[in-house]
Amino acid sequence: MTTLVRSANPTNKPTGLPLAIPISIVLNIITIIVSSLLSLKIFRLDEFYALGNSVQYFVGVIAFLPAIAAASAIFLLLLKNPNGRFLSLALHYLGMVFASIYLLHIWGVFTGFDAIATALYENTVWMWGLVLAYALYWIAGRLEDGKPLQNRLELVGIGIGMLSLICLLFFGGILDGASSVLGKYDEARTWAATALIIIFAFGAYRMLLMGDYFGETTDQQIAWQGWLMLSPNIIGFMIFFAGPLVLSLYLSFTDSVGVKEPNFVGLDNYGKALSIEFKTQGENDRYPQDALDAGYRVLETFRIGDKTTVIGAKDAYFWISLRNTFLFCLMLIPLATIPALLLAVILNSKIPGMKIYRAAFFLPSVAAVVGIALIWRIALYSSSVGFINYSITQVTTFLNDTLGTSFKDTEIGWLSDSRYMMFSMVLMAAWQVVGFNMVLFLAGLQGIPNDLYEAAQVDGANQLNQFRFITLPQLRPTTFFVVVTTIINGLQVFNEPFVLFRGAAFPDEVRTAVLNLYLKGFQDIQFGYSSALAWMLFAIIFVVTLVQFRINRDKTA
Amino acid sequence: MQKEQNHVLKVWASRGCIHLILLTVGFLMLFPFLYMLLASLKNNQDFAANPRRLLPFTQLTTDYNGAQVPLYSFEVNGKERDAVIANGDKDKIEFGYLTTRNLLEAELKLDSHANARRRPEVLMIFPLGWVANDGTTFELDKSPGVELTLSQTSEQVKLTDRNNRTNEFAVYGVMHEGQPETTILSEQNLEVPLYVYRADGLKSSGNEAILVNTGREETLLDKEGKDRDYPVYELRSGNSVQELLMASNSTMTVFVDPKDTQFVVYTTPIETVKAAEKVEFQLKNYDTVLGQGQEDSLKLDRPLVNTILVTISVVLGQIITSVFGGYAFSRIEFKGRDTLFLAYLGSIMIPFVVLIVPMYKLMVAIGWNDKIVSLIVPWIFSAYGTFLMRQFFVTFPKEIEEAALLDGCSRLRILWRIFVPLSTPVIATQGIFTFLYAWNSFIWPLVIISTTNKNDHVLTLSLITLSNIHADKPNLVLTGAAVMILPPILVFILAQKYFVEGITSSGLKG
Repeated sequence: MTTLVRSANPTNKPTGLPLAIPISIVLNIITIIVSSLLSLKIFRLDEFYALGNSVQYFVGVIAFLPAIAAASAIFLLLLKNPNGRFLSLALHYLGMVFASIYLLHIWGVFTGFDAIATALYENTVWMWGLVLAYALYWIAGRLEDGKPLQNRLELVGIGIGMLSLICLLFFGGILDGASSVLGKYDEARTWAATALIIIFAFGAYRMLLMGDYFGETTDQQIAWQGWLMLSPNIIGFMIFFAGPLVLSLYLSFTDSVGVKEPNFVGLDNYGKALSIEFKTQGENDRYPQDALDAGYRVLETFRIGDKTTVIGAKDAYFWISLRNTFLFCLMLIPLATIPALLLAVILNSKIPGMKIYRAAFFLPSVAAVVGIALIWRIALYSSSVGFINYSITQVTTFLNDTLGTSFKDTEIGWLSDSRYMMFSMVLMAAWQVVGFNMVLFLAGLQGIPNDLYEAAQVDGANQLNQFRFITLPQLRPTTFFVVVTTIINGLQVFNEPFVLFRGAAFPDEVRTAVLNLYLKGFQDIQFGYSSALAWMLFAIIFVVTLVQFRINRDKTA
Repeated sequence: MQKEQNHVLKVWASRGCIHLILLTVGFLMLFPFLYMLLASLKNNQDFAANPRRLLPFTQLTTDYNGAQVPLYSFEVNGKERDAVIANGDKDKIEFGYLTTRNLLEAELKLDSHANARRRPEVLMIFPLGWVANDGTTFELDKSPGVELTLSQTSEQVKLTDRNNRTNEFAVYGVMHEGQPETTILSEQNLEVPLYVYRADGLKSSGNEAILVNTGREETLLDKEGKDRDYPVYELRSGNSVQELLMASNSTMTVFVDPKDTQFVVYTTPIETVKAAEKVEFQLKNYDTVLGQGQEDSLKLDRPLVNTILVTISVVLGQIITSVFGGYAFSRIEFKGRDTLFLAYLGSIMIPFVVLIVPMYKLMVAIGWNDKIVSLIVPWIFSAYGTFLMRQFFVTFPKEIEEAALLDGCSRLRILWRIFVPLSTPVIATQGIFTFLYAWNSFIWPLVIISTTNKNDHVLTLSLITLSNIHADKPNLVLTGAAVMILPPILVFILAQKYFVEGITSSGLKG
């Protein structure tokens, strides 16, 4: 490992102050200027995307950080400190990346995806050409190696592919796109961005070659390679995960509503959601509502003896949605795991056709919930023409006719009767996930050593006992994983209620936590409150995950 | 010997049982998909057919008077006969319900809710025109003063109008509260009863009666409390004259056999007629749903193209970033790497709902809301994919890399030449799961793409809109669902082993 990549040409030892240093210093000065200007601009904006001053100043400060880094980089470079080199490298690289993003933005590449879609849409023929080319290439790959047919097929495939691609690009308007990009060069900022990319890239490259000058160690060389490879992930992570996460937390402490500037309200959102009170309905209170303080709504009433206790909440929907979500998980767990376990045990007994069964059971989990829910809504749950009610009618008629019983055939409103709504949702969700869980169980079953069963057989244990005393205990980690996954996914259930019950308004019985926060956020436009709800849901999920880690660790320890 | 046989039998029985259970479960799992597929091949009329059936049927048509017309099927005397709606002046006949004033008043006073299904206390259902068995039209002139002679024979009733045109009708007795009160007259050999009258209206004298439209009208309050005029008829039989009101009138559709127009059937309402059908799989729905430039197209083709573009971009992007990230996390040792990896791992735990509001705000701020790019770029960075790749790369022996580095290979080259070719299975697994995730994603497009911006819709979103607008065309909605669901199913069938591998490896290690 001591041999370096560059050791092949050791004669390239620079003497005196190499050119890379002044270049880098100039670039750092540019960074300071751009960063300061950007920061200043952000600070002086009148309005910051309806996010308020706090966010504005925060972003402004972040925009100024490169300036500080660049200043210290200059200082360190002059001291010939290796950290100065790393800092400069990082800054030049980031400068290049952000200048590139900015240039792509000016070029209109990001918003240009719409145009690409339009081009594809208008030239579907050539897309088929690509598909055909791939198919030919695929077939060629399956053929015997070295046969002339294979080569020919491959060539034809590549040819068709190239032709289709060229036609797609040409007819799709690559020329228009190119001319539109070129057209952007009548603006100074386009030239500036392009120039910045080139000089930053050049500067970074020159600085990269300065390893020996700064006495770079092998570890350091490996380190920058690692950071470089991670950089796309880290940049994406910062922009699309860490940033929004912090913003979400901030918004949850504000009263952000739509385009109005938010005010910081502390824990008010959380307080509002969690506010709950228990009151006894007095003699002067005609309705349960009268017993509650102002701002509270009746959540539930129940009688103990001759006293009526009223539970009131400031946001009844929060509690209703939590109750619904828990109920959903509670019902989903047995329905999604027990059949999965039984099916896995059956399929594990080496029966012929196992793969076909497994595929059939797994199929629902690859389909979109939106599509599934539509099918169930139309084909199965419809009270008048749905197959479930139809089957019930057929069975009751059959029983009544043959056995002379008098079962009543009631038309069950699976999606309209409040008693069945939640069950309908759970049944569909369980149906969809059962195959997935079954595959997990199958994997778990295959991990159980066979000698356990053999020993049990020698001891004369029957199949039931083997299942009880070997399979179940051995499957505990898998079962645990399946249950936790089911809970975590169940807590975030949204598509099922949204599609099954989409109509004028969602019934209270199916208002789940995520549906509730979606409606609060994007229907009532209460971004702040919605964020607070999301964080509370996250807290619950976090606890579940923590419990999982705990138990997993206890077992392995 | 006997014992062995028993054993074999037992094994077979238990195997049969297991297969039966598995087949039942398999059927339950596949039924919704089967239904979706078959429904997508149905026409709208067939979709609502009762009783429910799975296969798509199309109504047969036949050549009749130089045009293609739909064919219906009647059961006459236990035999199936085809018929078409008679065209021209024959296709409908009118008939009226005649009753006494008292009965009508009583009827009108009844609570309409409780007696919604009760037949009116009909004294007489009377033809205002019909097609006779021999094909001639028998028309009753409705104008005032026209007389119609009714004469009763032992089994048949003869009806004669003033032009002395006569037709015979069979008589059926109907018991009402134990008394032979009502009689149904029907043309011979017809399934559908045509005329009803109360026997006592005719019984009084002999077996002849004359019915005359007086031209007067009486006004009564109907069920909605509005005035309605009822035409007054007189039934003269011997010396007695009874006044009858026409409670309502209606039309019957006339069906004839296209090959033998002598065969006539009447019916009302027309919805009860069974259509003559054959099984036919129609791809027309797919054309309607996806067709370009068609007038009645639901234009799901654009969302389909968008979904394909989004999915391919996300899959490719995610694989690239994950391979780089996974390689760095597993093969390159540097300070802070493991801390960073832990942070990365922790981010998997955070549900997307926490990010949905700020991500929306971010997209608005950078002008990406309502743009396809918002469905692609934020999704090409995947902590989960990076994790998956890292777990795989970690298992590679160190020597491969060291040897390559000694030979002067760059990291990029090592990654591309050694690691990527060796990790096709895990890359395929990740690609497939990303494909499913991108193809099926719903909440983010719902938030970020507005419903009016149809050009940037993805399939999930369009389908929701479609199901709302075209709720009356469930076959088209299910065709849309098929367009969305079939590609993932196809991918699943082609790449089944990667699914199973992916789930088992990711599941149990995570």
